[in-house]
Amino acid sequence: MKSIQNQLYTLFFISLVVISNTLFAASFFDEEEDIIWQGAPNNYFKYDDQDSTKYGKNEHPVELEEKEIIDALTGLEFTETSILNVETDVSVFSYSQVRLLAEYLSKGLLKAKSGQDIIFVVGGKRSKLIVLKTKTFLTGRAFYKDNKLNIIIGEYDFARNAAFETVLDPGDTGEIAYNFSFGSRTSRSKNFEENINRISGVSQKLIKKKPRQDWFEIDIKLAAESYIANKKVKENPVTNQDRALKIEAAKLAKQRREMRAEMARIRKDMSKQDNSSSTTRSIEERITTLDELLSKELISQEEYAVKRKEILNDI
Amino acid sequence: MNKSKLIKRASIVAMAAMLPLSQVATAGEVNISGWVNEEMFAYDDGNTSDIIAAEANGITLGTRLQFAGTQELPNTGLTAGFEFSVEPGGLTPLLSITQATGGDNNTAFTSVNLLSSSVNIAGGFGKITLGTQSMPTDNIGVLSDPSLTLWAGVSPVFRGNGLTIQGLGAGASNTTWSSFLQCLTTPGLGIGFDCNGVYRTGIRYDLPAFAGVKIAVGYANDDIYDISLNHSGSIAGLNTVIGMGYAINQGGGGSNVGGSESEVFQVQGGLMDPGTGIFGSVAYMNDEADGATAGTGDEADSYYIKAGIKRAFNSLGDTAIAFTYGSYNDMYGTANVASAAGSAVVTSNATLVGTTLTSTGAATTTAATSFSAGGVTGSEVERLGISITQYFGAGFQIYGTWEQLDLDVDCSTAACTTAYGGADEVDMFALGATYFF
Repeated sequence: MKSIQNQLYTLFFISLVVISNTLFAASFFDEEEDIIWQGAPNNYFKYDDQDSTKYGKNEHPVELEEKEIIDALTGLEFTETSILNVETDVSVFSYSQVRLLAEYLSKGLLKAKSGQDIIFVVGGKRSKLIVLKTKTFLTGRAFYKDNKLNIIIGEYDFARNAAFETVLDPGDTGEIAYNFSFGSRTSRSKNFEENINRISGVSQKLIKKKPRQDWFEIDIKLAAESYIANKKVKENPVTNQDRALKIEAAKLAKQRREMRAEMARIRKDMSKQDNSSSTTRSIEERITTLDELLSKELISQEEYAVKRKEILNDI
Repeated sequence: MNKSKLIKRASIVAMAAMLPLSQVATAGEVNISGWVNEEMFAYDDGNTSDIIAAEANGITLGTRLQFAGTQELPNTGLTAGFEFSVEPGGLTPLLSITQATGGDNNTAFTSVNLLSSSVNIAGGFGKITLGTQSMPTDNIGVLSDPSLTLWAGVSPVFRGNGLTIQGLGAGASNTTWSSFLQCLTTPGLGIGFDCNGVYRTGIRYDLPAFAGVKIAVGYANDDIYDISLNHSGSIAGLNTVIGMGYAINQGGGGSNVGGSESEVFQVQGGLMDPGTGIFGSVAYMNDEADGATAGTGDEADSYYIKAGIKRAFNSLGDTAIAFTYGSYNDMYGTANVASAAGSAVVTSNATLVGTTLTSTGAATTTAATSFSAGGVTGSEVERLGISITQYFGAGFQIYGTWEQLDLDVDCSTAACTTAYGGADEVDMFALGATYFF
């Protein structure tokens, strides 16, 4: 049986072999150059080899405005239907995710090579079972091609597994790095299957005439402009309507006042006309009647004259 | 939507909103997570072969459901938290599969076992955890593997643990592989490594981390003290991880070999180059019982090496290929002494599955014709393995392994040589999957 000393020597030797081989392999790759930014084991942006050249090489390097990326990504929404059948527009990326993506994609694409993609992991939060909240992760790969920023989703709202972290990081030295998928050109990810609400400059990649929900093609400038324009309309609709309504109401009130005054005048005039009309007809009728009586010799001339004088005295 | 459906949905929402949990959730965060692990296990011990659907429950990597949560304590700068986890009991535990295992064991499923139940308070001073939990040196020589290819293979011997060694002669019948993998610090735990590797009821204090180094100390029933050190970081672009721990059992150590106390030291370190995916890890353990009966296996040591590569070879996700070697030495317990048939000899870990050990260690099982020939002065179980793991993103993995166990025994008597000289190797294959949620 081997002595403990021999065993320790063997252990030491094998450790040296393992370490030296790993260092040797690592010497060919300068890992630090691949990192664009890393905030935590599960929060980073890195360069990675293009996963497939099936759709051609990327158009890197490229300069994109961070502000325009923010506007373009903020405008990405899909419609979610709740269990009460209420439809709500939901942003694809949260506020913090948009800002991280904008900052580090703009920086990364400025130095990216044509055969490189940028893979990323960013954190988020969502509610589970209505009342429980959990930390989540969003992963994907980004590249610039055909004058558009392409983002392919890998994991969407992947919930942190506390049990996994508790067991594998018992000393709580930091987050455990998950085995994330970063999305692929050749394989659709079923982690995001929503259709994006229509917005100019954004489309979901068509593969054999069918849209791939996990793959966005974004004309940054157009999408940003579209988002800004939509935002203005959304922010000001109530004010414009109010003003128009007020003007209209004022007009109507004035018209009502004028109409009331006019109607009052007309009523007054009509009332006067009615009175005068009724008095005139009565005298005419009486005199006509008197004439008929005289013509028919029903009354004498002297009676006619007396009566006629009385009627005329009523005017 | 018709009215009845709308009413149903509204009721569900209303009931959920009235859940007591909502009161907790408004004050902090509650997380439900875990995984399910299942395996098809096949073996050929030179005499028999079989395929068995197995559950990996009872070990760190077995199916579990965990509830955990934290909340801030107002005006204190402190947080309080809890962890509660369960695992399925019964069924067909991988750890205790024997040649006799077969058939549908669903009728044996009688419970969901408690794995952990603890509360903690944390702040600038660190964290104090009280309850049934993983103590500082639990898994200290197991999980410091930067590749995290754990379900395929780890330093303790889980597969084949309960199988009877074939080819043994008279005087060694019904000797299982666990008989030569006996831990001293946790009597009855026959897994060859991680000899303080069970959940215990105790108190644990984690000091605040500094420079990526985390130190923890613990006390558990009965009179088991331990201290551990963990570090993970990056050196020259390589991911590094190291775990080191020391535990002493003064309350019930050495009961298998006599003595008043036992102690175990473990260390594991690993490197991984994220660019190429090449990784390697080495683990070592020394387990010793003080004042043990002379001639017994009162000092054992084990080492375990894993090396391989893990990277995205295809669009499915990462693929990991690993080669493993383990050597478990002098873990024969009291096999130096001949014992009569029916003696209480540790033959399997069946009673450890899904349970927390008592302070005096696990119960042992006795086979009717089990006895030791005696005369053992040394032993070595060697373990070779190859594994491949395919990850499908972060939520699912499939793995396949081949492992072989081989026994070599040093003897002081002819009877011992007769009994243990012809031990057959056992080849084991496993195909398993783990679903994380």
